[in-house]
Amino acid sequence: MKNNKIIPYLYLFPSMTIITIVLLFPIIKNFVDSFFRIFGEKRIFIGFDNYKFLFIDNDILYKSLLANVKLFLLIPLALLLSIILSYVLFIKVSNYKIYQFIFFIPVILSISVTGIVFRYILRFDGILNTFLNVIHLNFLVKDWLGNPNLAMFSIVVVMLWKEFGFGTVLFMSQLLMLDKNTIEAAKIDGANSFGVLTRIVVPQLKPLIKFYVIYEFIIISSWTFGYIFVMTYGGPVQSTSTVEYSIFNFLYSKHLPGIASAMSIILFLFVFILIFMQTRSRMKSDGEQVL
Amino acid sequence: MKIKKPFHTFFISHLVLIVISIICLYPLYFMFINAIRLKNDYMMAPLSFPTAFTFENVKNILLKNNFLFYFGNSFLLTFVSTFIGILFACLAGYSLSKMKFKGDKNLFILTVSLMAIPAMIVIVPLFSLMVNIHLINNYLSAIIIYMAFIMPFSILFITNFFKSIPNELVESARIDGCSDIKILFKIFIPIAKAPILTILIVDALWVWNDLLIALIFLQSEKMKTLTVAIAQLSGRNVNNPPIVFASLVISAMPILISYLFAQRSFISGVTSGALK
Repeated sequence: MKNNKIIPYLYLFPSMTIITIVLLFPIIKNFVDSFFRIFGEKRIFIGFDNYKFLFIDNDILYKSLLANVKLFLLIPLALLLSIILSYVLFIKVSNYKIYQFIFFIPVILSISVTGIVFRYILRFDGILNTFLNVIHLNFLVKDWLGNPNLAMFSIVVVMLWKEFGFGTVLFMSQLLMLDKNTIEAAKIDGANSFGVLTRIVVPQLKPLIKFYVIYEFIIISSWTFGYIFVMTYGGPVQSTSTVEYSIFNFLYSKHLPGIASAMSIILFLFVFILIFMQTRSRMKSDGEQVL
Repeated sequence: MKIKKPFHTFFISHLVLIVISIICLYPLYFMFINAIRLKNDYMMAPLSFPTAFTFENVKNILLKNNFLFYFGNSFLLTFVSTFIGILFACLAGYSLSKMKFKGDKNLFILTVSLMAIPAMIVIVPLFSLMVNIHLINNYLSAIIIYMAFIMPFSILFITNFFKSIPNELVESARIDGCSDIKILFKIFIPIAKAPILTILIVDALWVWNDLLIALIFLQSEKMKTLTVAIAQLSGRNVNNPPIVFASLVISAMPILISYLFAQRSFISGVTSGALK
């Protein structure tokens, strides 16, 4: 068995080649490009000027980060809603499967379909405002996507609509492994629903909650492009231009690939470090299984 | 001892769940109902039930707008990249789970960490690379990129499953003279049918729903995917919502139908990555 040493690498060759070309090479190339000013074929080395532009001369990076930070509101909302719903489904409802089926539909719909439908729902002359008028709640009528102060929160709500089903089903699948008798016993001892929820259910779900928070963090930092591209195009007045969308803008509207590269590196470090640490700590805590 | 549930909590919890179900389903209803209504009817009273139905919009979209082409493109890309992607992931998973070699742990961690790379980050350099090797507007470029993006999750999932297959099975097959490649295809993949189906769904969903990569790497009219087509069509037809909704229905239909039939696999597929 002389070629035993090469065989494992042979099996890994196709997948690792593709990963290297598509994921690793671009990251390195971005890193190099972020030190250049690029016009078409011409490249001029400018050191840290692109980073200086982003961190000091201009507030686009901060504004984009602010847009991303507003999106973080999604995490507590989605977490709270899905924990409560999974708890209600687990404790109070025997035919939970039908609700699970319905709640999961938004999860499988594509972001572009979701975004476009909600664009028609949230327009100023859209269905939501029409509905609010009909039920005489006129004071709630707002320009949901056209008001710079509201647009990002409207997107958060749309993302919540799409994301909560995942959390609910996820927590539900864990709760189903839980012994219902524990909860019945706690109730006999006089615990109310809230006590059961905070003392028994949440501790049980802790590892999954950690996963879900990380998962939503990834969604927020890397999957917002679709929503913004079909709902607001980054506007009004750049209020919904997340880091991802700003990179797209630097590339295709402003034609500044060097700055787009620098911004990509910042976003990459942001996401990668978090995931790497999460993976390592998971590997350490439960041996083999990751995520 | 079973505690009897009081009627009011039963009532309230069902009420809440039903309201949320309506919120979940309403946008879908809104999409379907407006795809088959007349333009003026929508403009007059979008909230009301339509007075007349027409399949003109759906027909127009399918026949006049190249949508069958886009549909074919999406299907082709999804099919090819998930199948080859999973095949490669199986090879890698076998190596990472059943063969010991230098650096296997680190390679695994690195691969898994790449799971969360935002597509936007790799777009810039990849675009110039693809221009240089003349792969822009070529299915191959998109297929390679999709495969790379579904690879980390597929490898993680398949490796974890393969690890649960006892080593004795591999040993005895080897003693019987089976080569590794035979063990993988004749023993491992058949055993892993269910998890592979799961991963197939997750990956296919990813590719079918992607907007960014198709938007940038497949720009020619003949190569557009459904998601790109509906995004562009909705931009052009802001004042004709029924046409837009008809295109949305056509794009969402395949996924909704497969969900109806393979509900279990969808749900376990998307959650099992977390539970495993």
